Amino acid sequence: MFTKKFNNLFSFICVCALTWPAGVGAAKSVYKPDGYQIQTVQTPANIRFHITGLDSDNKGDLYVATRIGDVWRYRQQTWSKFASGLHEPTGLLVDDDGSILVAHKPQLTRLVDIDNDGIAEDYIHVASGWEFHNDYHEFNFGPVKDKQGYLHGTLNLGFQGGYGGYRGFAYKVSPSGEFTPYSWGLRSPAGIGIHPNGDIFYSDNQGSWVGTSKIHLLEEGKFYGTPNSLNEAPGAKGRWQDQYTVAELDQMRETPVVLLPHGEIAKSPGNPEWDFTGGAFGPFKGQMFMPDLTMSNIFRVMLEKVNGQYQGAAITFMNGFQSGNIRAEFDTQGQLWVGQTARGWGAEGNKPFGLQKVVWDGTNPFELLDIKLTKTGFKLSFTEALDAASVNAAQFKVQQWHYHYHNKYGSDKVALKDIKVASVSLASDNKSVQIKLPLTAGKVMAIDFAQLKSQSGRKVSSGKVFYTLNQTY
Amino acid sequence: MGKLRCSIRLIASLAIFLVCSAFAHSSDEELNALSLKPDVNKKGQSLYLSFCAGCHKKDLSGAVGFNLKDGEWIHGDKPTDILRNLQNGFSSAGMPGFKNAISLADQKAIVAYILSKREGFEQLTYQLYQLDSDDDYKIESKDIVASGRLKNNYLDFELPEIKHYMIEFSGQFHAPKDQPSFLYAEKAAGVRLELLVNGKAAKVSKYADVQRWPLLPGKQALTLRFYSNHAKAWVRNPAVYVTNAKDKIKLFPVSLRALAQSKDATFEVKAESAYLVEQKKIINLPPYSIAVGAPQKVNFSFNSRSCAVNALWLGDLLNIGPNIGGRGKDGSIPLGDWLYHSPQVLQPKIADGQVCQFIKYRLQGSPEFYFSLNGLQLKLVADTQVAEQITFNYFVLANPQEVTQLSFELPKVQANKLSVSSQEAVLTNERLQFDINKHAKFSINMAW
Repeated sequence: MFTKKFNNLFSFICVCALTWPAGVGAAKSVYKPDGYQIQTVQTPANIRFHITGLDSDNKGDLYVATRIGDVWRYRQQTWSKFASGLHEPTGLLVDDDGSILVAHKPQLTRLVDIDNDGIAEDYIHVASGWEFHNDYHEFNFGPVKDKQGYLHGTLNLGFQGGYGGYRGFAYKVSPSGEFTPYSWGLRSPAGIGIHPNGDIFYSDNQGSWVGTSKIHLLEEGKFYGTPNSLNEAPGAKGRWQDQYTVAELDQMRETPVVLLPHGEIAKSPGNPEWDFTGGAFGPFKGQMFMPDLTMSNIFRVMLEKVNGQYQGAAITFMNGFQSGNIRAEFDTQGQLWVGQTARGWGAEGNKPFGLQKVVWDGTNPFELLDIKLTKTGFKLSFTEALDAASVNAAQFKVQQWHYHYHNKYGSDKVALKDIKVASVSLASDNKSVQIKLPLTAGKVMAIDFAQLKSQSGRKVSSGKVFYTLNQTY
Repeated sequence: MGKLRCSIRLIASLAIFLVCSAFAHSSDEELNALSLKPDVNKKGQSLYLSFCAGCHKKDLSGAVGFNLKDGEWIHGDKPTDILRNLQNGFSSAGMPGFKNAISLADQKAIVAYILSKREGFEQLTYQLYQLDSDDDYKIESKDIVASGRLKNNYLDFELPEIKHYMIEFSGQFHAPKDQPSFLYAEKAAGVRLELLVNGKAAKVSKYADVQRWPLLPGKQALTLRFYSNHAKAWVRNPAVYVTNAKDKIKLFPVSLRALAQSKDATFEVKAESAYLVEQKKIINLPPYSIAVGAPQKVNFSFNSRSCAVNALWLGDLLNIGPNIGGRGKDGSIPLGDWLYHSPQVLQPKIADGQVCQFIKYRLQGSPEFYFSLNGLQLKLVADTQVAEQITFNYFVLANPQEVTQLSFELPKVQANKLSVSSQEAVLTNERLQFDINKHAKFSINMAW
């Protein structure tokens, strides 16, 4: 009886998912660049291993935090439990001294193995300057550590906007333990990462006031668009609803550096992770990789500065992972580890949790390497020289649109329009192509180049890139 | 030989007579009446804990043996069925018969106690009405296309396999007698649901995707109507529970969907051989509560915001299942009996508006909690080695303000349930007062 009913329940959930408007079923294409494989890592038997915190140390040991509240170490293909009893961790950092920092709902905690037996004895309070109301949605993401030793994290809003207490803020903790909430307007900022140059980026999930998932540069004193936390922002004079019109909020908010079209690139993005593996992971050196929970994929983000401001593009890297990807981490070997969970929020991958890694076998893939804005269009560079015969303006299909900024959950594409490519020019080495087309700031531009061929006759695995055109030259 | 055969026949006849006479003196009405008598239930509870709880669990929710408080009774749900099964047992399933083990009066007391703990529907029936369209609100008896009994006594919203319908469930319903409770339907946003309690429309409250109605204590007649009309496919199978008033704890499932969710929501954490610490959402406890389980089957909670010991309970630590399933909305449930819980606290008091600063806990044997109150640094370690008591040992680690007096607010608990004492303290105004100049280490003992 129970089995029968459970199956029925599952069918019921599937029906729901298929009726969601933004096309859960859209990501049926297989994205797999040549030379890259997904390997599944066995997790401890009979343990709920929903990985939501993931980091590695300089010895190659991997540490994971799981939603049930454990921290595990993976050394030489063997798991050992390092800590337990935490409150739904959603972030983990191996600190310089080998201690483990875990962001869980009520606290940022440092775990220390004081007797070197491989198990943490000390659970040290680092910060808890926000309010936690026992609400399921009050996640604490992070931490990342900057060059001055400050730890940074982001605080999810509570259910339906939350109850205050710095929900929807980014925060930092000084080396001496001082907690400072420093920017606001975040919604569900499930991923935070720091570039080696010190710039901090975070991802936010589609929802109210977030038309589609997005990536921001995180800076102090900025408002990131979801107004619930304005009530506690410096200088707040009352309820934000009484203070600002939507148009004013729109003017006040920071512009995302990259928008992630819903159902095409992401639905629930996790943390940014950069490829500084020195080529051990292939040709995409220095680029940001980001996992997505709902779509069970990894996408690449190519950033540039235009007029001094970050903007850039996203393109799917791989999909077909077994569960919901929420954390990504490059280890010292150049392997990209992916922590997974699908509990509570469904994923394309049908496993409830797990750990996989992406490895590169040295084969040069044929993919888009990078995209840069020019004064008249874009320059697209590739990992292999193009077959000149396949390169002409008709092979590029371009659309542009923007998103509503409103209280409603998500946004349709607004002013969706086909854009004609005026001309193309292939570089002398055949490895890059410049396309000319009209540019309008404030748009997402989707460029479909899937019909291009390489000189060896290959087609790209991922043939559509989404550039967020905040600024033009 | 003939004598022996005669004796066997005589014994058999006597046994049949005894069994028959037992039933002759036990009717459903009598057992139902006994279930309303507190003294009989108290005796029944004591006997149940001795003879039955090992297999059916202390709260009757079932383990090796079946759940004895829900609506599923595969061997019959009449009071005399329950008595017969208690007497005869099920040897193939490992349950002994108690016919000759305890007196008939004791057997009846156990049955009465089981009946008093009954939850959910009995004699649940349904009627399915076929409607013409999303906008058809006219319900007539001629629209009935199916009806019948739901033997497991759970609401089954998947019965209709037609697009436009109203389904009506009716039955006798057992709600908690000891606390206010609600019928609570989740995943039911925008759905038209109606509840009749003893024939009268109950007032609904709606928030998020929840609809809920107040229930009467004890037994009552319930009718629940679900109208498909414009309801989308994903809200046509609500999870219906009975919840309590204060913390909206899901007390028991009422629909099949809720039952499936409840079975998935069991994950028991027990301190078997070493102390365990769990930071989870816990029913009755505020955020920041850190639960500690000791192998001696005593548990407490330290709150890192107030620096108070804000709960003490016996038994095993927690069922954290409700807090780690789905989106983790529900609180973990202690696997035993409260001795006290928040807002009752054991809390050090140094000044009004004092600032508690949590420093850390250390796991080496009994967990050590380090914290400061207005700069006074303290360490708390619980000792659970002596049976039926716990001792909270406090250590003064730093006293930069040179505080001399430290008092403790005590949990207000019936004296016969829990006694609190300390050798180093003076009891003043229901508080323990310590001279920490004299006592850099001091203890507070709780015994039950």
